[in-house]
Order: sequence, then structure tokens, then C-alpha cells
Amino acid sequence: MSTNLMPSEEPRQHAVFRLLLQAMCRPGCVQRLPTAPDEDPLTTLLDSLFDQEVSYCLAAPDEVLDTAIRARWNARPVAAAEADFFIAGQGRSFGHLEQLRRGIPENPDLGATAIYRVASFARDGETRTLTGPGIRAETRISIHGLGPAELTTLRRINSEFPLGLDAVFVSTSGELLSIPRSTRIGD
Amino acid sequence: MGYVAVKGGSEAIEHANSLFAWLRQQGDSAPLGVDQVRDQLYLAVDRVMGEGSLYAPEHAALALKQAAGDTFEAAFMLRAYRATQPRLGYSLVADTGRMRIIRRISSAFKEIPGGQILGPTSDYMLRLLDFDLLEDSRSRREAFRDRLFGGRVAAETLPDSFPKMIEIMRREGLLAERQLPAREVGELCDITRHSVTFPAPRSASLQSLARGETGGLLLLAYSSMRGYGNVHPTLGELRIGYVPLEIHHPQSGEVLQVGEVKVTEAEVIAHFDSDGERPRFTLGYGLCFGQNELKAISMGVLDRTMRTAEPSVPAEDQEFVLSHIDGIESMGFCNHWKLPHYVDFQSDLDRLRKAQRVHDSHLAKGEEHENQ
Repeated sequence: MSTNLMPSEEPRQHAVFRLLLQAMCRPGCVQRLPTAPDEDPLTTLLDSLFDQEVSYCLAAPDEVLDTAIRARWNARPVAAAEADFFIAGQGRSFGHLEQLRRGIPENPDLGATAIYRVASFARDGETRTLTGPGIRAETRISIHGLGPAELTTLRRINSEFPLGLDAVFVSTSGELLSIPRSTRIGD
Repeated sequence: MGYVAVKGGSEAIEHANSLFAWLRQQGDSAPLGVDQVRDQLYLAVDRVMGEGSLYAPEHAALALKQAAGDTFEAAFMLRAYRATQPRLGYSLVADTGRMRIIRRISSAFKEIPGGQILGPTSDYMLRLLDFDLLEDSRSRREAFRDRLFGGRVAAETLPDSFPKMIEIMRREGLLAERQLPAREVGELCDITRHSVTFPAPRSASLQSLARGETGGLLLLAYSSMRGYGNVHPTLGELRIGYVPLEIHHPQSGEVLQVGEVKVTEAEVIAHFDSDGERPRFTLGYGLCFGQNELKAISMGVLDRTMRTAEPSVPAEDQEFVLSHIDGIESMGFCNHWKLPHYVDFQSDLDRLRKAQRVHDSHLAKGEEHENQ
């Protein structure tokens, strides 16, 4: 009888998924991923989300990331309009954000998730306000390394709740912040 | 939504959980090993794997231990666990003709090619309590094994597979032709990804039956066998054994065998159809994880009843059958009645009181009328 019925990587994947849920239900709150010292935090996150059933699209060609995703999770690369996940490895969507799936009224769950790799969430930069479910009154966020138009585009796309995109931002130091489609992005 | 969240009671709930765990540990008996459940209660494990729709004997044994033997709860836990697992790949379609057989019978013919193989079954035992089992010890087990296998050499090696009875009947034109596989006609549906809508394609129907609750399947199949419907089944073949689990290697694409899955398969021959064509028998198909003969036969019967052109009884109505055979759904719905329904009941009470007032006032008026 094997006493270890649970693969060793599973508890960490569960923990990361919990963190993601926490980030989604507390928009704008920064969570810290349990990333190993030599690991890309994006890998830590994708480990809990990706398998071979998942389809993805990269914002810009990135052979290293593309190969890594296929080798590690065997996920399917597709066009932006079909992707479950959209990965902006350089913090910019290069115009693809508008093309992503927003779901249909019967199935808003078909809306895609956009994942941005950004520099940091240090509070010293330009800030935007967030309001909506999971936020007491109002919160302010600052995302360094994010394309200047991204949040404005996201606000426009998410103006028809429950249709829209859920956005997740991962910083290079392993912090995580989310703006789900239910959140209103202010100025 | 008609639900109002009820808060509070967390401490009482924690105590309830602890008391359940304590009761499971009651008495002085030795702790029950998960391996003991897996090996010695294997039919319960098989049932839970089938109803939980996850082939994982050790996890199913753990679920049975955790649920103190409740197969509904254990299947629920296994199905919940299943939902947390990544999909690493899809197996190739297993050909049950290649099954490594441990039991194989036909009630249609006495002499079948390859022979009837009774295999491990309790079918031919008297249903009398065996008090000898109270003295179940290692030494007794060894003596039993010696009696069974000691000094005996395998008289003949078993063939790798056996011819399928229904294929023989098909060749002779007695049985309806095989339907085109769902994946070829483009209607292969995955009920774990898309909820079933009615009328459901046969692939969705068979998947629902395969993870159905044994008792639920049996009840509906039994209703048809007894006369609420007219499927009087003959078992073309019932076989139990191991089918190879094969996948394409994700990188090289090569076919690899990664394991074996124990299954029960029932091919149920039912009354014949003519529809203007040459009359032939029709077939109902049952397949489930593990050794669960009642389930496979019931599934075969229901697969056939649900394909009746004009349903007239519950077992022939696809929506009725498929909506009521899932153990996790039915137990969940039944259990939810234990949750607070305070608001619903207040509204029922209001209406009752109003109806009583109306009734009483009518009565009073009637009496007045009589008195006049």
C-alpha cells in the first residue's frame, strides 16, 4: 500500500489556487506566491491552472515561454479569439485584448483570463482606483511594467458584466494581484 | 435565488465533525488499514470507483474508511477529488475484446466458444452466515491457499482473450448491426465538460449510466424487467476482467500501455425489432468500473429501454432515467432537506393558517345558515 496517495507537488498547487481565489475575491490585494528561489513566478501560477486541456495565446512571440508551456503542461496554443488563457509576458497585450473571448450571456464563464507579467506593485507610481465586489469602498493600485493603455482597454471590455475578462498580474518577485471582470476600474 | 444564508453554529458544526470521527474510532478494535479495505472489501471499492467515476482503488478505499462505509458519501468524495485533478491525457479506446478475463458467462447458450468461465463470484453460494470467518487468521488463510493452489500446476494456459458472443450472433445475422462509434459521427459528448441536455446522444447516456448509482440503476431496470416496460433481458455475455489502459505518448505519439482497468461488461439481448426490415434482436450495452454485475446488467437493460421509439413507462423515458440515477445528485438533493428551510416553512405556515381561517369561517357561516 503506498502511503503517499497525493503527489508531492499537489499541496503547493492547491495553495497557489487558493491564493488566486483570494486575489480574485479581494481585487487589488497583493498576494505572495510560494515561488522557489530559482523559479519564474509565472510558472508557479500556471502550474495550478494549466494542463493539456487548456488553450492559450501569447501576446507576442516568445519561443522560450511557448516551448516551456508545451513541454511542462502540453497546453494547446491557439489564436487569441479561442484562448482560455492569454499571457502577456511583457506586460502588454499588443492589441489582442479586444479579441479575447468574453463569454456569451448563457455562458459568461467562457470569458478568457488574461495573465500579465509585470515589474511590481510598488505603491509609488501612478495609481488607479478599483471599486466593486470584494472591495471595501475603494482601493488604489499601482502596477509597474504594465502597458499604459491596458487598464483603460480592460475597463472598456468589462463594461458589460457578467461578460468580460478576468485579469491576473504576476510580478517578477512573485506577487499576485487580480482584477476580475466584476471590478470597476476608475481613474 | 430563494436561499438566505444562515450564519452561526460553527462551533456546533466542528463538534459534530469531531463526534463523527470519534464514533468511527469507537471500541478497542485495531485501526482499519486502507489496504485492508482495498483488498478485503474490494466489491465496495469497485462500487465507489464506478459511482465516483474515478478508477483509483486506494483513494476509493480511503474514502470508504473516511465515510465509515457509506458508499454514497465515499463516491461523493471520490468524485470531488476527481474534479481537482489535472487531465494528463486521454486514453485510447479500449477494446473489450482484448479483455484479460477472470469471469465470463452467457445465459443465451450453454456451449460457447472458449467456454463458460465462472470465475470469482458469490452467485453459487448459499446465503448463510459463515461463522468460520469469525476465526479468520493468517494460518487459516495460508491453509486455504495451500488447499486451493498447493501442488497444482496450471493445467492449461488461458488464452489472452475470448471471442465475443455477440459478434458471433452478428455474423449470423441474428443481431442488429453495431452503431457507428459516436466519435465517428461527431456526437461524442463528455458529460464532465458539458451538462447533459435532452434528448441526449447515446454517448452521454452511456456515460451517465456508467457513473450512476447501482441501486438507482437496479430499481429502474427492475421495473422494466417486472413488467413496467417489456425488456426481458437475455445475457448474451457478461464478462469481467482487465482491459489495457493505453495512451499516446505526449511527445513521441507512440502507443503506450500505462496500466489496466478492471471492468464489468454486459451485453443484453432484448426483443427483436423489425421496422419492415429483416427482424433481428436488439442489444443493450452496460460497462462499469470494477466488478459490479448488477450495475452492468441494469445499465444494459436501461440502455435498451431508453431507445424505445415511444416511451410509455419510466424506464423508457431517457430524461426520467438519466435525471434520477446519479447517486451524488440524488443524495445531495435528499440531504439538502436537512439544511435550514426556516423561511420556506414560515411561508408554508402562513398559508396553512390562512387556509384554516378560511375553512373555519366557511364552517361558521354554514352553521349559522343551518341554525336559521
